[in-house]
Amino acid sequence: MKDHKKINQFYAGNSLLEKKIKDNTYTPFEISYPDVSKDITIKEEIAPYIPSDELIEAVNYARLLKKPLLIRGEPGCGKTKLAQAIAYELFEKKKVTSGDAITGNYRDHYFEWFIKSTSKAIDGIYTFDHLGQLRDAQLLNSYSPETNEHKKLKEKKAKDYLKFGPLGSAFLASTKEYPAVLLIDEIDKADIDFPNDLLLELDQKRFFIPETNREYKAEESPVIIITSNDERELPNAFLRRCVFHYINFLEEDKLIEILQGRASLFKKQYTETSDLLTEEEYSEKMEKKDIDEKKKMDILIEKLVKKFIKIRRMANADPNIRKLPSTSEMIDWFRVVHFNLLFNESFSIDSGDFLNKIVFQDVLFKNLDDSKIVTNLKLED
Amino acid sequence: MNLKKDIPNIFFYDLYLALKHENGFNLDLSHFESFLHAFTAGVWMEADDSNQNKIKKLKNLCRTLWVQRLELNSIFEYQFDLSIKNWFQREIDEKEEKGFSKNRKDAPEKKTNDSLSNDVEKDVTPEKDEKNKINDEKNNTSIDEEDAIDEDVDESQDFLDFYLEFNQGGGATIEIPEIKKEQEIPYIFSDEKYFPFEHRRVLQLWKKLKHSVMKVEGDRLDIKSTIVDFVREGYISKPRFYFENSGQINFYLFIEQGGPMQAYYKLSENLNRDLIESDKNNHIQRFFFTNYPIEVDIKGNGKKELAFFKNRNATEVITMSQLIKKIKPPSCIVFFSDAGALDNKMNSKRIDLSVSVLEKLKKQTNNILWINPVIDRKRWRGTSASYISLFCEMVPYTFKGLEGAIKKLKD
Repeated sequence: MKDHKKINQFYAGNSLLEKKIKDNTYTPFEISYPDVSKDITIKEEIAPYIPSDELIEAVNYARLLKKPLLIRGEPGCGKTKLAQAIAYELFEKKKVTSGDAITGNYRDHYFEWFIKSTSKAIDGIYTFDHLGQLRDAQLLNSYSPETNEHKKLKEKKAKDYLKFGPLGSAFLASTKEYPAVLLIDEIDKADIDFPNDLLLELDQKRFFIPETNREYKAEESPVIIITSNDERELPNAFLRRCVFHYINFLEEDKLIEILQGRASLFKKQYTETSDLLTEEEYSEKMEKKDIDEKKKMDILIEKLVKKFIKIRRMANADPNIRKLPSTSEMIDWFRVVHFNLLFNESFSIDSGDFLNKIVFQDVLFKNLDDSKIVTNLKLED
Repeated sequence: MNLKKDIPNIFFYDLYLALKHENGFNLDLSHFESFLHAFTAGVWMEADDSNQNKIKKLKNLCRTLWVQRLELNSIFEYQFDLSIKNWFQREIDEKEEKGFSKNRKDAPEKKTNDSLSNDVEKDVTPEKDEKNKINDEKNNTSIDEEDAIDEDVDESQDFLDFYLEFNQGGGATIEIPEIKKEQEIPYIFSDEKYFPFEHRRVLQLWKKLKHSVMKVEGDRLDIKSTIVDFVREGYISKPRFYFENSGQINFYLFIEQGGPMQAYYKLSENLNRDLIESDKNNHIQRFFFTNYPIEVDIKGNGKKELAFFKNRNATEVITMSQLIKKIKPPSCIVFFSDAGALDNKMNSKRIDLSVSVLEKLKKQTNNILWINPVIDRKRWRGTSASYISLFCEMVPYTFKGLEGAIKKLKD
């Protein structure tokens, strides 16, 4: 009982990011790719992640038990974004407690492994450049022993041909002070044996590389988040090593919180990231549509969420609809509505069209058949 | 009330056992150990949580650790609520019994102890020190008991408040998900339980077969294997490529219908569904027969040929020669028939024609499987089934039977 408070601080949603956005101290990260080119630098923006209480608990259990958390849920419910949110939260929390001594950003402790149908378990751990080793072995004989090239090649060891994959890197990077976060995304896409090939690594957090004859063990278990779309059954041996959570569709208040978090980033997106508008133009347009104040924006969000829930409920009642709009579609829809409020003079959320019809339905319903069915639906009170 | 004290581990162990043994959850002891670990660490509990919230959190803890598949969630919800209600009832019954007996005994005892202590205070002499000590001890004991009784009464009240709160809330909050997916329809309401195995488990088996049958050499260079070859042989004779899935498997399903096989209609449809669902790329062709393939003279030249029906209504026919031309690798031929086991006798015509078909099919593929819905192998003895099983891999339609056969096909 003594340490439960400490444990509860593992992960507390995305509270720090929310606070930063509210205080206007949030700045997007700049990520550069030095391997590719020095010129490439992108700005990464993270919107607040609003988890349900059950999800927060599930993450805490996974951390406590040092087991991977297997997340399932309908597409667009925020399975993939969770790992990023945890990594951000853990890193920022550390930053708060340790002062500004920490450099870098959360990406140094966050590893992503996006699974494809051709993915092999070993690729996530390491790859060994056999071809490079063979080439060097051939080249070694072609240089005379006195040359620098010969010396360089001779000094090369097996480990120089080794490159760690996301799982291997996360194991090596994870320390007690900075536990790494690893995302294994859409594990059900891979071959049927893929999950079984990871049993030892996930269970004991260690792996062996025969090429260098060395075993590596994680100092601290990384937080492993595995997502699945349930397209394929996962083997029992794999399942017993995980803890589970199914992300249900969120409650109304959580949906409102999500959109409020997004709305706070809009100004930056239009004025800084995309240079579409100047700050003055943005404020002017917002004022014109009477959503310049936070209170008014919150009322707009509430209206949108209520309408979205109504649309979803109606679509759910129709058995022919194949894919219901999820949280991700709701966010896109909100962006489109917001964009139209800014740039479409005639668009208003109080107009009859908006109230009685499903506007911008293509953003919500991606399937052609679904879209056709929805066109004929009438929104009732 | 202290939930950690009041809802003892035994409750969760009972729940764990009920899920494991009565509801078929795939749990082992490590699952319960994980639960104890999280439970004792108190990670689920905040100091200011309401009792209702604590129950909700405990439910979430059990769900997170034990509910491995979405379709099991409804069963878990039901079992959790049932177990906790039963436990409450049991506790209330026990407390009522205990309270009744204590009330009867305690009242006079308290009085006696009080008077005893007064007496002791009056007669304090050195000779009676030992006696006093004993009396003091008695005194202390009686005070402790009193406290215990008071505590117990408070606790009972607390417990009853909690129970009322629990009942008002309609039990631990049951969240009904907005979307009811097909997977969420509880297993108990489906007819799955009447079949010899779970649908999802058998799907995995067919996937395994696909995995081995479908592998063909692709066009992605396997550098590692090529170098290993090169090192071994000293020269590169042939580059090695990764094995990849060929994209689809062709299943040819021969279903016996009519007669006693009518009773297995649903099973044959299930088999067909399993083959389709095991992979969306699967290509399945179905053929039908009754007892054995028919002999027809399609060309009208007096030469009879073996044939199967292309539909259940037996209106279209496909001859063996046409059928063989249709078989394209990677292929797997599956018969679903009792092979005469239900007739309880040897039928020479059935044996001759069946063996003849099998011999012809074997020239096209080795992946031939005969699934017999008569599960008891003893019933095959002395019937055509025992003879036909010598010519192909014949297995009963059980999980073990299929597992064994698919393993053999893989080898």
